[in-house]
Amino acid sequence: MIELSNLGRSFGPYTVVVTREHVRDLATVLGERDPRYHELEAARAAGLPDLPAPPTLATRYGLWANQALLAELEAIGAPLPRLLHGEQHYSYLAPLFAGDTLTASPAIVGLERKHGQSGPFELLTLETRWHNQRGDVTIVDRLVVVVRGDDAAA
Amino acid sequence: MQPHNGPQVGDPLPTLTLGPLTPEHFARYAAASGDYNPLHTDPAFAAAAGLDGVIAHGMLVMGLLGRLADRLATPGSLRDFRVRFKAPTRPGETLRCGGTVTAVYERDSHLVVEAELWARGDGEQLKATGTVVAELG
Repeated sequence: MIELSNLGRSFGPYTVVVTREHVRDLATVLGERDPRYHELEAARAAGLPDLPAPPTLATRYGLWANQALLAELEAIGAPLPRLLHGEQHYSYLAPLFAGDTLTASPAIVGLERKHGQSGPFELLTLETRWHNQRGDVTIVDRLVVVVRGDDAAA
Repeated sequence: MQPHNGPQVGDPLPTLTLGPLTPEHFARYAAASGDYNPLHTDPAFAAAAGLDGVIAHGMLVMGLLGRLADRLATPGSLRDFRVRFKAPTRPGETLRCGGTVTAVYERDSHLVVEAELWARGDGEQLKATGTVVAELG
């Protein structure tokens, strides 16, 4: 069980640099062939300063790819083997391109205890407001994680 | 509002398919996304976690839905994108994604388009549902 006192707690800050490789790799594995995600010339021809972020690029910098943040969650009683992705919500406030630097301090904004058919579980909502190098919020990432009870992982 | 030649309420989005998915695909998604959770790549770990074998990253499914969302608009015009994961996806399954335009309206002299999205696996099992909001022009 996660102590309810963790509601409102934040972690980090974490800073990441968006690279062209991140954009291309994600587009490629998803089968997205739009040249604007792959070739700088195509992006510039479309009036963009660099390769644009595909809609789900922020996952590259989110909980599942952040070992330090995963360790923080484990320390409060939410270890990786008991986590399942329940919901994902992105709000896009300013465009994001390769070359941008992002900084955020993810915060626990929701913590609910539930009881399901396979026993108790918790819903943890993590909100990450990514600021770019100009200080503007570019993406707000809200992720709902299902934290299964200890018994389920036995 | 003025008539326009853009999307209309009820318009279907093009259907996208990916698969049959393989464990190798999950491994490639892990590398591309930085999500190395062994739940998606290591059968023994998945079994120890109480699952019946490895499952696809939820974000792989959302990534495909993101390709659909991109069909509404140019990169950078999405405003909101949310997905709820309904069921795990296993190796061997083929994912099929689609959607429908649910609203078209004007806001601050921009054309706003909203759509609902879905992803289904084998046997039509619903894997994820979602919504997307894009601002055109």
